[in-house]
Amino acid sequence: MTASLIARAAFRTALVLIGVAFVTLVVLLPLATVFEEAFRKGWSYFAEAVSEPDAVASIRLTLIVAAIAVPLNVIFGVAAAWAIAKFEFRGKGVLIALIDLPFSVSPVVSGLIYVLLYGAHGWFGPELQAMGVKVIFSVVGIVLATVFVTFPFVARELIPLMQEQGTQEEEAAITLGASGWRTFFSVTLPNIKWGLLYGVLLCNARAMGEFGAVSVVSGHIRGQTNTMPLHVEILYNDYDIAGAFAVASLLAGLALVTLIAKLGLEWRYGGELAAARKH
Amino acid sequence: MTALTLPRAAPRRHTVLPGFGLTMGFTLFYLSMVVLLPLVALIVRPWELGWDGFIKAVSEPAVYASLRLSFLTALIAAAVNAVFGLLLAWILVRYRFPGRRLLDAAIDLPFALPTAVAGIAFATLYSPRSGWLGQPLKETFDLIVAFTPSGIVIALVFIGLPFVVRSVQPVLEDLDRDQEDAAATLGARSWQTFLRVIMPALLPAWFTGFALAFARAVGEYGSVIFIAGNRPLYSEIAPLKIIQKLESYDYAGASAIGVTMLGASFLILLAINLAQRWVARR
Amino acid sequence: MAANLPQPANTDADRLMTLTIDGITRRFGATAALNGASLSVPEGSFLALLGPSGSGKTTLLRILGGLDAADSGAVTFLGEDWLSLSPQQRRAGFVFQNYALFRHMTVAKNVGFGLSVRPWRTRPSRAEISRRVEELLSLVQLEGLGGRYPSQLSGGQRQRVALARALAIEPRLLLLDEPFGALDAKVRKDLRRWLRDLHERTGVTTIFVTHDQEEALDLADIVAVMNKGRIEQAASPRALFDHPETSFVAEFIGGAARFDGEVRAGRFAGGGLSAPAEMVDGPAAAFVRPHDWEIAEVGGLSVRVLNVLDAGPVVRLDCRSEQGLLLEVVLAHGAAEAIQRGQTLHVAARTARVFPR
Repeated sequence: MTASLIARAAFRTALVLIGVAFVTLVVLLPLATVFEEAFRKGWSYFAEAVSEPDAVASIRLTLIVAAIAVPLNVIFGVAAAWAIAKFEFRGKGVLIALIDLPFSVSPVVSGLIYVLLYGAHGWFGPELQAMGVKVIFSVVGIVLATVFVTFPFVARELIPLMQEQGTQEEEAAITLGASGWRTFFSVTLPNIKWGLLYGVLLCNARAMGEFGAVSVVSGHIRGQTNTMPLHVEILYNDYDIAGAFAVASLLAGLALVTLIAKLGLEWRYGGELAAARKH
Repeated sequence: MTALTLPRAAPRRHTVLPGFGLTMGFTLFYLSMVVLLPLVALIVRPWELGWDGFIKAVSEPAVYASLRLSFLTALIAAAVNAVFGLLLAWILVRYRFPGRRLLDAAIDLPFALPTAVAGIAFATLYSPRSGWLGQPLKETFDLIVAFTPSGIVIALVFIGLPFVVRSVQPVLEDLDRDQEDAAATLGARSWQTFLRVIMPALLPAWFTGFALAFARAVGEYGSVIFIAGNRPLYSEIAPLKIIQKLESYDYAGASAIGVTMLGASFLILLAINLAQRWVARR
Repeated sequence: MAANLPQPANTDADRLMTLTIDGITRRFGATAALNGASLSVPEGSFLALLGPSGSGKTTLLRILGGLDAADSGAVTFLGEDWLSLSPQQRRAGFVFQNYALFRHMTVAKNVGFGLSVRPWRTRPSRAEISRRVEELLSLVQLEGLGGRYPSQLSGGQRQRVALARALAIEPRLLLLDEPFGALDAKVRKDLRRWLRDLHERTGVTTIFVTHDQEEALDLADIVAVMNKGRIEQAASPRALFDHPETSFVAEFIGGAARFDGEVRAGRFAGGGLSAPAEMVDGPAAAFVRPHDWEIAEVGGLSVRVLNVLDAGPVVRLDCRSEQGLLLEVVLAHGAAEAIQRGQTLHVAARTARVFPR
């Protein structure tokens, strides 16, 4: 009896150790590498690398792109979740699948499709060029590609949450005399705010960190169309490894903050978010 | 695409909630502008080459090799993740040990960490000259990971890790423990209970996780490109081929590769979906 | 109170005072939830919509509250074309089956919601709202619980918050969907009494949906029995019990046993039962309630006793007739002495209600 108990405990311990070792190897070591390399040449080099003009320009561009793409996808996500979760209509499954589509499209293809539309040899490229509008190799293209890549996050988070909550509270508000907007802001929004915040966090992290799609449409013009991930690439390819990791560590920091905020949200409002997780 | 016929509120259950027209209209407009129109452009574009041109574009040796590499490495990485993801989901749900919450949180890091950051980290970590792991591997086992297909697999394992864990975990949490206890009272050994009571319940979610990890890995670019070495016919992935075609303004050739990737992913996901249904029905 | 059969509205004055539902239909895809439901009751009534599940009672209630739209038909109430009003304009207090309390708001905020969303010209001041909320909370006996959240309340308390919230808008019509469905037996009885008192005090026309006939008969002045999207009969509980107008009502109210047979020359015969019937010859069904049986001296229906429940003032017998029909027979304690399980009895119907089939 005791022998089998010991064997069981040993088995459990072995499984846990394998799991921890795997995550350390695949996830934690790379993360540690980022910070180790970032500070390899000391604080002053780090500070210099993240404050030189091209780096600052890339940080600014990244913030601008996220500041446009995230609100757009929040508006879309809320509208889509309202239509999908609160109403019955035919083709709902297809619509949800289409919203999920960008998740399964290669980042490079996500950039490619906008080049096909707005590039020099794209469908609308020549016309736009004639009008003096530049989409590809400009901030517009970067925003478009980022919007595409981060498109599903907010909607994906809100749809299951709002489906779970049903329509009764909204109906009650309406019988009590509330208008449609009033119902949304006083009843629906407070019920979904944590899920919404969670979706915004994920959407933002992805928007700031997107590389493949942005790489295709940016043109890599230093100081102009380089986002932070693209700046990391350029520095790395120029063998400024410490500089590349310095900027990379800022992005890694953003990822950690996102994860910690997510943990905090789950810890505090676990029930609400659990519903959203079970899609 | 029959999906484009305008959805109408179905007569199932009427609701007085306002805003269906507004929100549905905006959703469809935005979806069309951001997702559908560009994808139509992608699907239409390669056919200006004609069928023969299309075949020629994707069967060009370097392109074919890159497609093969992307799909093979993605399959291997998804398989690795299927095994370790299941193990991780199991220990996270069933065991209590110090650092469990931290481990749980670490699983999500690949979702949050920008791919380019992961990419340069892997390239540095496995560098045979100076990497924490690359140097000992080279010196002790004469193994080189960076700039080879095995390096690509490692990056793809990182990218796909959360999918299997996060698919299986909630199902495992909801699993009725009474069934296992019942199996035990009926004399089943632990491994029999696992294989015949637990696994059948987990299979659909496990397949889903595998499929998601695979789909993500096939098209992955940022985390792979730095560690791959990008040697033609050896370690060049399909997304890189697309970029190269674009750089030489071969839009049709680039979209031919893109369409092939999408089509092949779609077929593989469909096959997995069918297998999943078959498993669920048994 | 008007406890008689509702009279059709004849004069304009009558119409002003009456809730008239006229030929409401509502289809969900291929199935008709409401199929020409008509009803008219005086203002101030306490009306129960009673019927089996799927009979359309909740759909009718939702249409009256403005939560669902009728495909055709009309509703007149307080002299207005009720269906043309938006839900907001109707001022119909709706109490949902699961209460639908706003979970992120305190009890006080929930109750005051209807007042605080009024356009600012007619909105009471903050102090006025909180005074009214206090008043309503004491009306529903929840004084001092205004600061709680719905999740911190018991089922019965939530029910009363939902009622207070609906009453806060001074509803012209109070609609309750299965108001006691989610409560346990004891709370249910208490709340019933309390709701009856409340109606007496406020006089608001009140309609509630239920599938529990004891509840409907106990509480309402008028019970509308619904079946397959129609109102079979609307009448006082007494009238419904004594004078069922359709075979469905006869069978549904009071758990009657149904005998299929034929009427010939003023007499029904079928399923072993024979009873007088004042109707033209033809196929018919006869209904006998459990209490309407007596031990037959001669002849009668031969039944086998399957089970004897001897408790309280009456004895309940589960029986099966020779024709295989299961029926319940209730006898006075004295009349049923020494009846054993497995015994064969001969019973006769004191009253049988016969309807053409």
